[in-house]
Parts: sequence; C-alpha cells; structure tokens
Amino acid sequence: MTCQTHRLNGTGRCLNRSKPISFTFDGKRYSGFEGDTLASALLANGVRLVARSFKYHRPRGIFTCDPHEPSALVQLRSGARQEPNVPATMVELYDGLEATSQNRWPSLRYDLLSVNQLISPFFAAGFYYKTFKWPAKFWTSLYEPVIRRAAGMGRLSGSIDPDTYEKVHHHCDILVIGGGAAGLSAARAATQDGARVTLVEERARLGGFDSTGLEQDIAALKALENVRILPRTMAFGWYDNNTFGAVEQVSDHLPVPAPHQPRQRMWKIVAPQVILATGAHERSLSFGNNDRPGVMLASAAERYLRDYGVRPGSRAVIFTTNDSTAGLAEALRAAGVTVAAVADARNGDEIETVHGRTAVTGVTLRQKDGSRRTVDCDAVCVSGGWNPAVQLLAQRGQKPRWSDNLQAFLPQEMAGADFLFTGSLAGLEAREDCQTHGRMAGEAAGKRFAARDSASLADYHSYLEANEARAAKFAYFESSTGKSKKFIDLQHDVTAGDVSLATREGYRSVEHVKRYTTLGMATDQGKTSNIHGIAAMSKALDKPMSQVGTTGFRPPYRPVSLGALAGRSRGKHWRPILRTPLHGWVEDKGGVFIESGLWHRSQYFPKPGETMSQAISREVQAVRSAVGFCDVSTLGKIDLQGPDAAAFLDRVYSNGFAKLPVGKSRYGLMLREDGIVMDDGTVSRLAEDHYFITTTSAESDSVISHLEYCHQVLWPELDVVFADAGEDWAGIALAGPRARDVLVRIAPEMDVSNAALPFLAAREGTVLDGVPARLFRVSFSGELAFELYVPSAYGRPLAEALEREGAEFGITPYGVEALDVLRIEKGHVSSELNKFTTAADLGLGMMMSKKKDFIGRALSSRPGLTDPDREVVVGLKPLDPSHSFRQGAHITARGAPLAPENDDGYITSAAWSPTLESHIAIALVRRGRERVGEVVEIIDPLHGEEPVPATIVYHHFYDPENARVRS
Amino acid sequence: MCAAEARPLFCLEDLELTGIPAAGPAGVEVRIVTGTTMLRIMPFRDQAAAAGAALAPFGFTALPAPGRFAEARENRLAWAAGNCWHLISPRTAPALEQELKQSLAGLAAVSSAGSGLLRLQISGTAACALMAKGCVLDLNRFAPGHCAISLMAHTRIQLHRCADTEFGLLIPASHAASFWEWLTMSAAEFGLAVQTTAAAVLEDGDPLPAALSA
Repeated sequence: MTCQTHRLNGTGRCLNRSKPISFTFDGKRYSGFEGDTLASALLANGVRLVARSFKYHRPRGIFTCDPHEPSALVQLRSGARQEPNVPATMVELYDGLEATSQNRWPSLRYDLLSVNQLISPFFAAGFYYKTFKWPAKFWTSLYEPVIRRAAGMGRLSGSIDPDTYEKVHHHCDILVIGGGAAGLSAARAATQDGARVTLVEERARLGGFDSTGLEQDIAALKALENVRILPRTMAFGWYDNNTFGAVEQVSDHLPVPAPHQPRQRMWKIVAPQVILATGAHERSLSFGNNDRPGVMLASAAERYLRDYGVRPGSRAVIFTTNDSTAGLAEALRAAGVTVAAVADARNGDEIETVHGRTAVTGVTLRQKDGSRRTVDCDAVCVSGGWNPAVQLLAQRGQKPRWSDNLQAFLPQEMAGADFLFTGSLAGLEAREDCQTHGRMAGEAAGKRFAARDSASLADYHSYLEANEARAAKFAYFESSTGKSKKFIDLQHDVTAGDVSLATREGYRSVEHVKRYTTLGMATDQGKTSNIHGIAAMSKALDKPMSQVGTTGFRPPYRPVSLGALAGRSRGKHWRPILRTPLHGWVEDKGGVFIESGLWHRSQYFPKPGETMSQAISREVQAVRSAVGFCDVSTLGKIDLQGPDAAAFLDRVYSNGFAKLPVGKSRYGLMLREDGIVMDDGTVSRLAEDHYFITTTSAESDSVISHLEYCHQVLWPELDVVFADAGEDWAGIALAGPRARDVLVRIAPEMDVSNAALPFLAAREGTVLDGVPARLFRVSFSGELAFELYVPSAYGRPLAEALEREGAEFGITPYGVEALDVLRIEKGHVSSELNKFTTAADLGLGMMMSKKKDFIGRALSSRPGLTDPDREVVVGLKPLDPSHSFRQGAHITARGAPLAPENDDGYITSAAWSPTLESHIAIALVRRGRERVGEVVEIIDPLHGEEPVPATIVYHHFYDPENARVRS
Repeated sequence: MCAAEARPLFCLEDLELTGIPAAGPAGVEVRIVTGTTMLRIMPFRDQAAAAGAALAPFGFTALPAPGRFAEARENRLAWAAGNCWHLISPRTAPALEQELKQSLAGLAAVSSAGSGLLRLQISGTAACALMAKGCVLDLNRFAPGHCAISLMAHTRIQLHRCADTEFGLLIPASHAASFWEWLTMSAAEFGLAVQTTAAAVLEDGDPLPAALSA
C-alpha cells in the first residue's frame, strides 16, 4: 500500500480521518479516508495518470472536482457489477473499492494505441467520413468494428446486473434544484407560506462549491417539516407539465446495496413551481497540451485543498482570466505548494504550452511583451470563467442568450409562470448575492403558491439586471500562439484546430460543427468544452458569440443508467403477466404455457414421453372422438344492458340482433368504419335488455374502447350501459360427442338435452350444486360443444369437476394448439382477421345485413374492397398429405416464375390434421373461390423449402354440413 | 355432485403470501380481503339521482361524486368509472345482488364484479412511501374518502384512500400475481406483514389477529 504523499495534515472538511479506507486502482492498493472521492484519494496518493483519452489515447489526469469530469473516467467494481465510464470525481470511496482505468492496452502507462498521437494529423475532424468511404461494405464488416475497438471507453460486464432499481413518484408545491448557497436560501424562503418544498442536490452534501459557514442554514432547512431534501439526486430532465426526472444514487456509495435497497431510484417529480439553482461550471482555457495530467481547474484545486486536504502538486502555475482565483495562490502557499507563476490573461500573460507527457513538468509562459519563459511546475490551475448551468432550462426550449458583460450564456427568460432561477446560474458570483437573490426567488415562489399572481418580481429582476450591468468580464478563451494541440473537448479529443477546420470546410451552424467534430457529444455533454467550441467558431467565422449561439440541450443532464429508467420493469416483469383463473390448475396438470399477448395460456398438456405434436394430436382426437375441455377465460366479455341495447348492437355489428330471441346466442361480426373486419365473437341475449358479448382475446380492449366511442360520440342518445366483465368470469369450452354426458353431471339443475338446449341456445343457471353459471351452446371446434362461464373464483373447481366427472367418458384437457387445429379443420377464421380482410374475403359476406345500417357498411362497398381480384379465404391440401407448409408461405400458380407479380396469396393458418391425416391450411388466395380444385404451388423461400404442390379446396375441411354441432 | 367451494385467492395461487421481516415493526401491512361481494351499478340515462336515492336500504342516499366513495353500515359505495359505481359489502352475493336488482329495477344495470378483483388493504407507517413507488397521484391531495382509477405496476387499479395511512386497492385478478410480486419487492425495504382475512371480520370492526405473518 502506498502512503498518501499529497495529503495535508489537519485540513479536509469532508474527511473522517478516524476511518481509513483501503481501495485498489488498476490492481494496486491505496489508502484514503471516509469522505474521500476516488479522485481525491488518488490525488492524495500522488496518482496523476488515471485515464487514456478517447481517440488519441493521450494520458489524462483529474481535471475537475465535478460530476462532469471529462478526463478521469474509470471502470468501477468487477464482475456483474462492473460499471464503465464513471467519473472518479463522483465516486464516494468505500472500503474495498475496486477501480480500473479503461481504453488502454496493455497498461495505463504503456498503452500501445497511444501511437495514435503520432498519426493524429490524419485523425482530424471528420476523418471517418473522408477516409472510410469505400468499398462501402467494409464499413460494417471492417472499419466500424476496428474503430470502435480502438476508440472508446469502458466495457460492460456482459452479465445481468444483480442489483435492483426502482421508481418513485413525488409531488411537491415548489421544487428547488441545487443545494448550494442560493438553493438553500431559496428553499427556506419558499416554505414560509406553507408550501411543500423539495430540494434535490446531486452531491452527497449540501452547500455547493463551498459549504463553509452554511452549516446552520443547512441544519435549519433540514429541521423544517415541509421540506424534503434529496441528496445524491440528480435532476436530469425537465418534461411537459413540470414533470422532472431525477435519479437518486441510493447505494452507489456502498460496496453492495443494503438488503432490499435498490442501487438507484428514479424519481418522477411533479411541481407546479420550480426554482433552478443549478450553479455554474468553471471553464478551462485553450492552450498547448492543456490536457496533460496535472492541468486542473482552479476551483478543483481549491476544493481538493479545502475539502479533502490534498495538494494538487508541489509547484503550481495559475492561469486565469477572472477574480474567482483570487484566493487560490494564498491557499496553495498555505498548503506548502510553491506558486511558481500566475499568468493573468487580463494582463496580457498566457500559457503557450505545457511540458511533460504523463505529467506536467513545466509550462512556457508568453508575456505581454511577447517574451517567453519556461517555468518548472507539476500543477497548472486554470480558470477561464464560469458557465451558468443552463442545460435544464434549455431543455424547456429556451435558447440561452449571450451576455457580453458576463461573458457567458444565461437563461433567456429571467422568470416564467412556473419557474424562477437564481444563484450562479443567473450570473451571480458572491455568496451574499446568491443568498440574497435566492431568498427573493424563494419568497416569490412561496407567494405564487399561496396566491397565484400575487408575487412581485420587481426586486428579483432588478437584482439580476444590476449585477449584469455591473459586470465587465474579460473576453479570453484561447492562447494566441503555440503549435501544440489545444484541446477544447477533453473527453472527445476535439481541438481548436478541429473546429477551425470544420468552418473552413463550410460548416456554419453550431449544431453542424458539433456533429462533424463530435464536440460536446461525449458523456459530459460539453460542459467544459462547448463554450470554447463556440469561441473558436466565433473567431473563425468572425461572428460575435451571440450570433454563433449554443447547441440544443436534451435530457439527460448527465448520463442515466438504463436500470434506473427500467426500474422494476425488467426480466419477467418488463410487462405484466396475465393469468387466467385456471392457471394454477394448468400448472398442477403439467400443462405447458405459451405467451399469447400478455396472457400465459395453456398450450398443450403432454403426457410422459410425448412430444408436443403427439400431445396436440391426442388432444384433437379426444375432442373428435370423446370429449375435451379448454380454458377460454381469455376471451373478452362484455355485459351490455339498457332499453336501447338491441338498437346499439344492430349498429355496431354487421348482422342483426334486434330480433335475437331471449335465450339465444348469435355469431357477430364487427367492422371498422373503413369496412375492414374488426372482430368477431358471440352475442347472447340473457333478458330483453341484457346481453353478454364475447370478443376475441386479442381485441377485447379495443372492442371495449370502440363501444365506448360509439356510445359517447356517435350515439349518446341510446340508453345503454356496458361493462368490461372479462375478469369476472372463468370460461371453459366443453367439446366433443360426449360433451353433453359430462355436462349433465356438472349441471344437474339444468336441462341440457338437445331439445331444451339446442345449438346456439343461451341459459343462465347453476352448476356444481349452486354455482351461478352462464351456458352457451356454441362451437369453435366443430363438435357438439358448450361454453360454460362461472365466477372466476370457481374456475378451478369447475375444471376439477369436469376432469372428475368426465373421466368415465375419456375427457381430456386441451390447449390452444389443439384448439387451433380443431378450428382450422372446421374452417373457422381466426388469424385471418388480420386488419386487411373484409367480411366477403372471409367468406362471411352473408353476415352483412342489407336491412339496416351499421358501422363499416358504407365503406365496405368501395371498389377496393369489392375487387374480384381480392385474396379470399380458401383451404389448401397438399397432393402428398405428408408435405407440410407454414403460416406465411406464399401461393403461386403452378409453373409460374418466382416473381412478386405472380404472388397469389399466402397461408394464414396451417396445421397437421390428425382427423384428416394430412397437413392442411387456410389461405388468402387471389380469386380463391373461383379456383377451387386448382393445383397451386406453396413456396417458402424464407425457409429455403422446396415448393409444395397443393390443391385449393373449400376451407371447411371437417363436417361442412354442420351436423355435428347440432347433434 | 357436491357443492363446490370458491377459491377466493385463485389469482395468487403458488405465490408466497408471507411477509418480509424488518428490524422493527413492519412498515407495510397488507390485508388480503376475501369474502367480499362487489356489485357493479351502472345507472341508465338520466337515472343516476334516482338510482342513488334507491340505495337507501343499503345506507346511501346518493351516488358519490366521481373520485369519491362513501361508507354506510357495513357497505362501501365507490365511484369506479364514468358511469359506474361499486357496492362493496361483506354480505353474500346472491341475496345482495337480488336485493340490489330489485331496488334499482329500471334505474340502473346491476352486475357482479367481485370475482374478478383482488381486494387489498395496505396500511402502516410506510404505506404512503410504498404507494408512491407505483402510484402517480399526489397522495397528499388524495384525501380519505377519495378514490381513483389509476395505473400501478402496469395494472389498472381502483384505489381508495381509507385513512391517512391506509389504502384500499382493487386489482384485476388476471394481473394480481404480477402485481403481488411488484408489491412484495417494493415493500421489502420497509418490512412487510401479510394477513388474509374475511371482509366480514374487518367490516364488523373485530380486532385483528395479533400476529401478522411477517
């Protein structure tokens, strides 16, 4: 373990020196203290080189003390918890922390790809677009993979993240974003009228840049009942209706989350009023080799000294344009650091270039009179001024405005109906100014909460206007001389020369230059670089900064993990799992489930040793020869009542229902307005003004919505009410020649004889000795069949009773696969209702009433839908019964060349029919009904299968006379 | 044939209905309420006022406004959709349904809704924190007596604010297993106690069993 060579004695207000911490970086063990960040601990141990740059693999160190650190990105943890591209400045140190450098091979110090620096002249802006143009196919197969491997950052583990993430919704009256001096003042003032105030702060501690002296303010704020403080929470997005996205790093500062704790929690915050106190980001300056390890923002150097007791070096040079560095020289000297030189650009002094490779060894200063001198040093502290953190406001659509006085982009609107801003975001610098104006903003927001429009913003505005009028910041961004690379975007290795090149090549828009050079497109989103890109454009185009403008800002403000966005909706919970009332029974019976939409339905019930196809065939044969039952609870069910119910149904369905007698069911066909079939199902009349409707499983929700639309918009005068009863009833189809024998035992209270309960009869009664039931004699299988509905809580008892009472008759449960085979054999349409077919296409033209109007009637007669060339439903049988084909295979006339114009249709349903001992299919075939008897070819080039000759037949393969359903 | 017994917890079959221990008392208590009869009341056109008045035998004189529920005797009457209210009662279904149909004949459609909904009562010191994990509503403004149709954990639920730290949830049975897993995961950090109890016990105000299954 190394000793902390750069740690100062006594200082470091964030540290708990009684708690030493051990951690590793690139496998080497170091020590730090509780309260350290990884960056401060590495600096304390004298580690300067921590990363390699994105493109040129240049050595990089720690540049900031901020979340938007552009250089010191590391890979944190290992194994499944490995996380790439984490700013070392944001990692709170914990015992056993494991960090590694990234984007280097074989080691950080000796990185082979640092050779890129030597050929960097070829890597100028846009070199990808100019160089890798041809051959085109090489882009995806060669160029892109190689480039991605050479340039990049950390790597994901490839394993499933073992931690959890969650979401939480939060509402408050006033949201304060930023916990610095201004935010604290604003939050406290905002509470005075009783508003619920929430303050989010992305760091672990409140107080902002310097919390010295704010302890009492923080304690007082925490004591208020109507304030909620969310530390370690970064507001990343401002969305419509003042909804904010924020991520709380619940456990990122721990080795592993505590039991039942998520790693991160995403907050969706809704706040009618928001006060932005997001602060400002210190900017660097553009000079030669300004990326060398040891070059650091001045504010970072100050904070490492004060908060972490770490000196950035032994001999420092300060390069500044502003007064914020006024105390730095003294602070460095107090820490025992020699201040070798102070280059103040306002006096005409500047750093021309930095010397050293993996660490700063000196600088060349160019003085006002043009003379140069070399100064030995191991640290360079830079301040080019401050950029207000306008990103969140800009997400709202605001284009920031340039202030010549402040030499910064400021929010364009000083206040909105639902937002105020304050602090250094507003261009204020002195703590007293931030506190005073923060209080004004807080009081105004509080008054707006208490009585809208009652707050005067006169003082709020005049304070900012006076501050801006007073300001006279020095305009300086780039040293005037020097041949070394001057980086403006450290994370993406973009130089001032790249921007200049882009403008020479004709790029004029800041948005285009951004994309051509990739300036500001890295994970820090240009927080330390955009302004220099704009300045470089301003210089190259000879346009003022205000005319160059800024790029747009979109969420997220900082990178957000996908886990936080997904929350609990991952793995099997990525969407809901719907279970039928028979789910548990199916599981107990060894049934295999299949996902059908959101439903988990029983697919088939294999016996030991059976294959899937054997099980399906056995189930089909049981229904054809004896009796089977199938869970049909997923069907949509609608309870429709009211004096105008019959009239309503008449308008909704293409066939008539007004004359449907009480106690009868009828197949119903529903069209869309455009004449295309929407859904089918049964309608049963339980009483004069009471109907029970079933829909397909897939369309139940859309049919309900459709009916709501019809009632609320089209025919509000009709007195009907209806409810989605889908959850209320468990449904079982009982089918087969022995179905009645079983039913007699299940429903002894009901007369189920053919005379009393003929085909399409509907009854209410009881089963299982008193359980309310609805019984409909309808058939999807083509056999004598009944659909039986009981309250959902009786679904399983009914299944158990059927199994028990039907045993004597060979009853067999069957799943949706057998159900499908049965209906294909019978020729019932199902997947043929594919949003393209008409009633006539489906062979259901006779269900289009000519005696009444209904939805879809008018447009169903338009030429496109009555074209005789349309594809219509027919059956297909292969000449050789053993030849199979798949759903989706296409049909051509025999001998016709394989060409789109010869495509005569496609198969919509296909199955092996154990009843017919042949493969069969239902297909949509052009002029199909005129072609019955024709031998066509089934082609399936996607699966590389040989054409199969098949005969077009009527699609009612089984019992076309309908004798069995009436038996 | 012998009489079949209902499976009131059919929608939670195969799931662990035990709680998750915490260091102290569980912050979230979930009661799975069974034995409830739930009837859907949908007034015909212009009959809402008359339908409300006809509910006097059940303790009510009017249908609650949208977003509200009322309680009388052992019954709860809750708005459930645009033109739909739920009468929730510990009384047995067939008799209550028959009685309600008679009272509302010609005024409103009545149908049974109870079998398709799982009823949960969520209470405890962390009840609000748990609800905030799934519920988009501003719970501070969602006062006792308010109800809402909302979305939690992918699921369309009916939510009743029963007290400051107590919520009633009606969850579609098909979604119940999925919802339950979300609930237990989300409540784990607070400690979770689970109890299955008949509605009648609760509504009669009898003391709850001392030991919850934490």
